[in-house]
Amino acid sequence: MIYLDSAATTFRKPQSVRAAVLRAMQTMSSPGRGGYASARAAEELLFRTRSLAAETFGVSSPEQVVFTTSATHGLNIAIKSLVPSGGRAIVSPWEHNAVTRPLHALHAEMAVAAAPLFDDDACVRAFQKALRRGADAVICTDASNVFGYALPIEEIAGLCRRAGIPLIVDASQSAGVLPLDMTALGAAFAAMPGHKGLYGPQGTGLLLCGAAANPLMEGGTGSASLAQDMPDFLPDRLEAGTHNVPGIAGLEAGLRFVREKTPERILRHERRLIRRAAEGLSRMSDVTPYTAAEERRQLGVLSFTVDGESPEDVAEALAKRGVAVRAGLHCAPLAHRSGGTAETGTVRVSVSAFETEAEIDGFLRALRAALHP
Amino acid sequence: MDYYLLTARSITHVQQMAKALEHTGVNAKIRRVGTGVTKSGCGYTLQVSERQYPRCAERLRSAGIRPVRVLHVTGSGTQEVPL
Repeated sequence: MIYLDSAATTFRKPQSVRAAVLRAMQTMSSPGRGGYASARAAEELLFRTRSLAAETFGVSSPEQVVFTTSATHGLNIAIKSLVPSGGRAIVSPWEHNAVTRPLHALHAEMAVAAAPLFDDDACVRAFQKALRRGADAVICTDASNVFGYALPIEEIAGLCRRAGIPLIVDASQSAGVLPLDMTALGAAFAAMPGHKGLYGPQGTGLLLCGAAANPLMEGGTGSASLAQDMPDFLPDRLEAGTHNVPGIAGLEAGLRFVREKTPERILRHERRLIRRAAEGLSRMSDVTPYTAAEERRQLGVLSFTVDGESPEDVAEALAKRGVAVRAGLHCAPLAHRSGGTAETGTVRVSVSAFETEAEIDGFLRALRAALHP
Repeated sequence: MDYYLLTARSITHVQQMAKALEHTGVNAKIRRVGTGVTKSGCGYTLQVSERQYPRCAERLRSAGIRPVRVLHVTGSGTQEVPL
């Protein structure tokens, strides 16, 4: 199989990740629940992983690194901590349902800082304008899961700091390839999955906290157990129940893999593959790829449409030829409306550190064969 | 043997204290403790010998990591003391 759906999950994992998951299942029990060796081993794993994440993402203390089940979980905590029912949030035009659905559930006013795709100047101006009316929070993806557009998050964070409005960063597509420094950004929260660019298993995620947060769930934390309110300190306040220890072991190994390989090298590799894919697609007269004029604005994600063909049909034809891509709206109807592709959606190709130029060529051959049998 | 118990709000907090003491020559031991020590239910402390406590306290102060409480445990009883 040629796997080109890493924006959903990096399917190929480093061997160290698989080994860490297995080792955790063999040697670790519940962290924070006992003084015996297997509980201690789990506790040490959690602390190592929090410390590593804090160092990687510019968080001042490991206590501010919260384990979640996904970026969606983290975004829900962040949004529901900052935006009251009926409140107002400013969002980028490229947000995922993980942002827009919680806001909808809160009956919040969602002010979209509308700007054309891959246009940084217009994007910053749109946020500037939206911020004049104030908001409870700004929620902005670091990179679009549909088009791979890397937004000017530093500039947007600067606007938020000057306006005194908390910023929530959705780093779902950027964690592991773009630098993220919570302290420099001054962000209230950043949420990321463990199973994409950090190469951990599904069911893992991180919420980096720079502001007070409210739990989505209550339950046991192994601390302050006499109190019936959740602890008022992190990370326990947001981590009720037993942790996903094997998942976190895999996440730690994934984080170490990224740090060793370096996000810069991984991004360079992914951009080379995406450029190759875009060039190949551009040579097909009935195909429209959505690419940034400036390479630095696009990560390892590329959408395209085919004249007269539904994206699902194209994806199905590719699947029959052993190529895995994702078609449709990618859980991001707002992004598709903003990009002008809402009517049909797109076919999305996305890569990781493990895909190769030969696989991109194989995908292009399969697409040509599917479109012109 | 007399010693000090530095109580923590969470396992992560006690681990942070222990981490700050690494490479300082302080031999600190993480211990699970109950309500009798924490007053709030299950919890964690760092146990440090009386001899090593001054170095431990200095290091934690300089790292900006404060325990919830410091208990001095001696043969004649337990007394709360400032860091």
